[in-house]
Amino acid sequence: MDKKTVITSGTLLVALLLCCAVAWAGSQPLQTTQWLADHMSDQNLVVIDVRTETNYGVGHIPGAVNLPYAKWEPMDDEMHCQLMPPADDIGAMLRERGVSGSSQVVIYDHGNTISDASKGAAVVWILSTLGHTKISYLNGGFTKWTFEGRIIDNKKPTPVPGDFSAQTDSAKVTDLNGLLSLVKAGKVLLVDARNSNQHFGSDKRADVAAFGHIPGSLNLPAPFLTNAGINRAPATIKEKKELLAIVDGVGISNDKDQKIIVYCNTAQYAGLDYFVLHDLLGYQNVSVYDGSMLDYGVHEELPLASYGWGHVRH
Amino acid sequence: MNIKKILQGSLLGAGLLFFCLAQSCLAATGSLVSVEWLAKNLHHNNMVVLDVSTFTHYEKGHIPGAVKAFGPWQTMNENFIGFMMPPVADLETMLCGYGVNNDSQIVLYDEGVTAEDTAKSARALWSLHALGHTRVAILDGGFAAWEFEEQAVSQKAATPLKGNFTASIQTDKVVDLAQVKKKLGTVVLVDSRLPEEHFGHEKKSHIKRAGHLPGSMLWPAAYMTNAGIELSPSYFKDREILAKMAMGVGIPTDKQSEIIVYSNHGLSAALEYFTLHDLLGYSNVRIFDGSVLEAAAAADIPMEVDGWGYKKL
Repeated sequence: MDKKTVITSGTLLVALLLCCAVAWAGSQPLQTTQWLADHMSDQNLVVIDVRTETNYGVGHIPGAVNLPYAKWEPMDDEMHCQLMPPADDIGAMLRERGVSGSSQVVIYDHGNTISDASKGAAVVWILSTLGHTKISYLNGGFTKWTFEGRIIDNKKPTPVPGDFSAQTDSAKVTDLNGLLSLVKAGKVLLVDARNSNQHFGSDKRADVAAFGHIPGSLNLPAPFLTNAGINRAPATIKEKKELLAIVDGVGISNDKDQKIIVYCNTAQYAGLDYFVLHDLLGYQNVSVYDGSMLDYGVHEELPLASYGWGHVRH
Repeated sequence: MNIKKILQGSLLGAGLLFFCLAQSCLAATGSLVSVEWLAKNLHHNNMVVLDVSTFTHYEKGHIPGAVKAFGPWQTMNENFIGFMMPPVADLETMLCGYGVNNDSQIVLYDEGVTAEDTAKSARALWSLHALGHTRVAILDGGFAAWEFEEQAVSQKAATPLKGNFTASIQTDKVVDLAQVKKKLGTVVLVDSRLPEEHFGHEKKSHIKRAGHLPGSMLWPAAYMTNAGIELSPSYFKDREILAKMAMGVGIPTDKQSEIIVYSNHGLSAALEYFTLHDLLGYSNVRIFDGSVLEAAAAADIPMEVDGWGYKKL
C-alpha cells in the first residue's frame, strides 16, 4: 500500500464517518430549527408542513411541501371517528410530495399551541406506522422558526415523485378489538393523553358520547409535555430529563418493553404521548388506539370509569 | 302515680314536643339549603341571610332582607405570608355589624354562577365554624338559583340591628405551616387546585414555586358543583357522586381520618372543607390557611413537580 492509497482510503474513511454522522444526526427523532437551517440543501431531505393549506400558502419553510393534518387523520363517516387513511392512499400522497423510503423526512406544525404540536407528533406516529424509518420532528415548529427570524417563502415546490411504499405496521396502531383483547388478557397499560378534566369525567368533548376513561388508564396529558404557553414559549417539547420525571410521575414504570396503548379523543394528543414514549424515551411497544374515545364512547356496553383518577387503585 | 302527675307529665311531654317542632323548622336544615327552603323560612326571627357576592352584584338585586357581607373574610397576614383569616376581634365586630347573634340561623349565598363563587360562601362558612358558630348553611346554587327559580328580588339594602355574636375559637379547624410540615406523610393532604397547578405544569405568577405538597391527593374544587354544565347555576353535585369522587381521588373512607385541605390562597380549599366536612361527614378536616402561597415561599418544605401526588411518602 503506497502513501497515496493510504491518504485516499483515510479520506474516504473520514468521509464515510462524516456521512454516517450526518445520517445519524438526520435520523434524530427531535430536530432543532438550527439543524434544519443547516441542512436545507441536503439532497434527500423532504420537509412536510402539516398546517392548513391557507397557512402554508401564506408562508412556509422554503422547500417544504404541504400535507395538512386533516389528510392524515380524516373523519371516517361510517365509524364516526378520525382514522388514518388506507396505506395505499396516504402512500400515494406522500410519493407525490417526493417522499422516498430513503428520504430524510422532517415534519413540522404551527408550533404555537399543544393542538399544533400534537398534530406534528401524530403525523410522526402515522408515518412511522406506515413503515418510514427516517423521520424527524421539528421542535417548536413554524412558530420557533419565525421567532428566530429565519427565512420563509410562499413558493410551491414541484417535487420529483418519490418511491415510498407504505405498509401499515400493526404493532403501532390498534383498533377497538385489538385493545379489548389485550385488556382482557391483562397484558397492556392504557395511557390517556387527554386533559385531566376529561380523564376524570367531569368534562367531555361534545362529540364524544360518554364521560370518563377506559378503566385502569393512567393519565399523561399531552399538554404537560410541551412548553406551549409557558412564558409565551413556542410549543417545544420539554427536556428529556423532565419528560422522564413526568412519565414516572404519572405512574408508568421504566420497563421499556411493556405493552402500552395510548388514546385520547381522536388520536391527536395520543400522537404526542406516543412520540415522547416511543421516540424520545425508548419505550419499544407503544401503539395508538386510532379510534380513541370518539369510537370507544359510542359502544354503550363498554365500561368507563369516572369521578376518579386512573392512578388511584382501590 | 296520681292523675296530677300524669297530667303534668303529658303537659311536659307535649311542651317538649312543641318546642322540638318549633325548633326543627330551622334546626333540621343541614348545611346546604335549597331555594325552596330559604323562601319558606326567610322571615323566621333567627334568620340572618348573608350575601357574600360583591357590592355591585348586591346593588343590582339580592334576596329580600339579605345583608351585605362582603368581608373581608380573608386578609393579607401581618407578616405577608398569605391571605388568611383576619384577627378574631375584627371578625366578631364584622359579624355583629351583619346582625349575627350567637343563636342566629345563618344562610350564606354568593353569585352562584361558578364554583369559585360558591367557594366564597364556603370560606365564610368555614370561618364561622372556626369561630364556633355552627348554625350556618349555604344556599345551594346561590343567587343564580334564586333567580332561576323566580323568587322575589330586592334592591333595598338591609340595615341590620347590631348582633351579639361572641367567638369561641375552635382550634381544630385550621393548621399553620409548622404543623403541616410536622404532619407530612401521616395526614391526608388534599389539593383543591387545578390539575395543571397540582402537576406543576402551570402556576400563578405570584406563587413562588410550582407543584404540590408531597403526597397530596388531587380533588379540584371546580369538580364539586354543576356550575356551567348546560348553563346550570353552581349547584353542588349529588352526595353519592361526591362520595364516589372522594374515593376516586384516594381519600380514605374512614370519616375520622385526619385531613388537611389547601389551595393557592385557602379559598377553593374551603369548598373542599365544606364538601368533606358538611356534605360527606368527615369530622376531622382542617384548612392550611397559608396554603401554597405560604408553602411555596418557605425554603424548607419540599414541593413535588412533574407527577400526580399519589406516591406514598
